[in-house]
Amino acid sequence: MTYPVEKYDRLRRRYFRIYLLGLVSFLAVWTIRLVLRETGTLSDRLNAALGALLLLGVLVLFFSFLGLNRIRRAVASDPELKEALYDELVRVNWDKAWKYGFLAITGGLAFFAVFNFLSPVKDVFAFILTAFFAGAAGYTFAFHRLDRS
Amino acid sequence: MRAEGLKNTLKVQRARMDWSQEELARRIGVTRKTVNTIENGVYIPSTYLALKMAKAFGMTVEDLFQITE
Repeated sequence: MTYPVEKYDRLRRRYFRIYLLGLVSFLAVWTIRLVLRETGTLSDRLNAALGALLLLGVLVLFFSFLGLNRIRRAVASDPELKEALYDELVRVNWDKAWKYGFLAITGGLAFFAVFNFLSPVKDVFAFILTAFFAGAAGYTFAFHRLDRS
Repeated sequence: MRAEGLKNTLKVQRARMDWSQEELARRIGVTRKTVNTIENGVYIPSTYLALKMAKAFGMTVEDLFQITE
């Protein structure tokens, strides 16, 4: 008989990869759109195209979030299964990934500082938001790498 | 934390008991991936998990994990 944790572990990894893909795509499109808008080179057509890509990224994130949540709900009623699925290696990797998340935020803020030096920023809030998105992507990417090692 | 300087006899003990990594994982309540990373020296388990592993094999932690000189 197959150990049920393995089934959920494989599913979790699959949804997590989709989540990472959605997050990185969203961050890339978001950053491109922000830079183009700040430099005044964003045409209406390009804005609409990038907006559609952003929406697609959000949909991918939503889909993967639902999948991960379904797994969480499925194991919630079985404490042993939950403990095995979120075992100490997973928890250690979560903790390690935080460091990379904070480094990514720092990188995002450094990008913001350099950009502001070259061309004064109009929408400061959007840049700070971008730094947080970068942090989330850094954390997720780091966890994915650690989980695969 | 990588397990440099620490060796284990997990593979030998599993073979002795005729257990797969999945079987050992089921007995100690972790994923097969965790057993694999410990066995390959990628990850050093907590004292609690090391004790659970030793108990599953019916031996002491020192028999399962040794520090290399």
